[in-house]
Amino acid sequence: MTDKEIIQLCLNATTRELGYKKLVAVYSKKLYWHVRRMVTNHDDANDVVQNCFIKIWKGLPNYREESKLYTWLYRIASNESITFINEKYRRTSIAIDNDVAQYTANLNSDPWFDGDETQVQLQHAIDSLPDKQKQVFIMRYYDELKYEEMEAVLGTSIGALKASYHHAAKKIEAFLKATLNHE
Amino acid sequence: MDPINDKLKNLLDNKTLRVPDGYFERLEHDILNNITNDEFAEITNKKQSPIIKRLFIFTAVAATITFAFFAVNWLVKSNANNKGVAFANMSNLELDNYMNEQIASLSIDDLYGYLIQNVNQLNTEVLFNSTYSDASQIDKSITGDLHEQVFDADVLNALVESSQSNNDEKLLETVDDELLQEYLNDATIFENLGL
Repeated sequence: MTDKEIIQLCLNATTRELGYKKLVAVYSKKLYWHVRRMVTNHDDANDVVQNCFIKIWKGLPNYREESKLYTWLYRIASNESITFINEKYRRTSIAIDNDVAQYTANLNSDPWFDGDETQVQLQHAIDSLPDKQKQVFIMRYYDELKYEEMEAVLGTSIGALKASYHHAAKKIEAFLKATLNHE
Repeated sequence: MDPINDKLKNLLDNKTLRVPDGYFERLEHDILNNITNDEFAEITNKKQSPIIKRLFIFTAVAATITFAFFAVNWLVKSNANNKGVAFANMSNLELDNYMNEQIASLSIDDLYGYLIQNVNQLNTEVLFNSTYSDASQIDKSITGDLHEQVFDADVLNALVESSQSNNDEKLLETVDDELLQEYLNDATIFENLGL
């Protein structure tokens, strides 16, 4: 089923529930992985993605076909993830850049994370990126969105997105060099 | 995909993040359940809202208006009473002192500013048809001023040395004529009087 068909079902009050079920079937996995890479922890990602779908359901009657469906969904998921991360670190008063030991302990305690010390360090490097760079890096590298699509999701110019991706990749590469040299 | 360091690419592509078995099937189910519960909660809230919410809002608005009305009335009365009591309790001397203090606190600039602002409102008839347009009043005023002006420091010292009296005539007799004449000849006296 195409996005257009899903939207037609969702915009009609009598078929909205059916349309929403189709939307969940098509997008729940994609959005989960986007959120998971943003927040890292599985339980956190599960909470965030469920909140996203509640917002999507509530927003469906007001959805305008001016933006593409996946653009709208990614924008909600991305914003929810950023809000969650900021809330979480504000609540726990832990600065992710400064407390490597705490970060490593948290990640290792997640039963749904499989990785050695280098993988933990890499994940820490990604999580230490500024919000915008992290969003751009994940959308570009993992979700494989085009810059034009990212522009529609994030409302940022293509030039700025390319710069953000470049900065993010360089920071992670620098981390890699430092880690490998250290070993 | 944009070029990226090969070693980094291998690290990034490693499947380090996992999910429990059958998670996505349960996720779909949970999401749809959430919506059903959410809708039910909304319907329940809507059913309760008309009577309870409207009654609460009406009561709150009425209470706020009543409180504001009494508070404003009380403040206005309280202020008025305070000022009335303050002046009523003052003696004449205190009132004089109060007025003198208020006048003394005015600077030349204040007065000048006041005149600049209000001089246009003055009627010329008021200026020229005052008691000072009467020649006798002017004479009286000048004479009175002169009378006060002669008592400068030297004259007063002379009066003190010669066992003073409050009678003007007696005082003048005790003043040295030359000193008095010299003082009267001083042009600044008349300048001070505006002549």
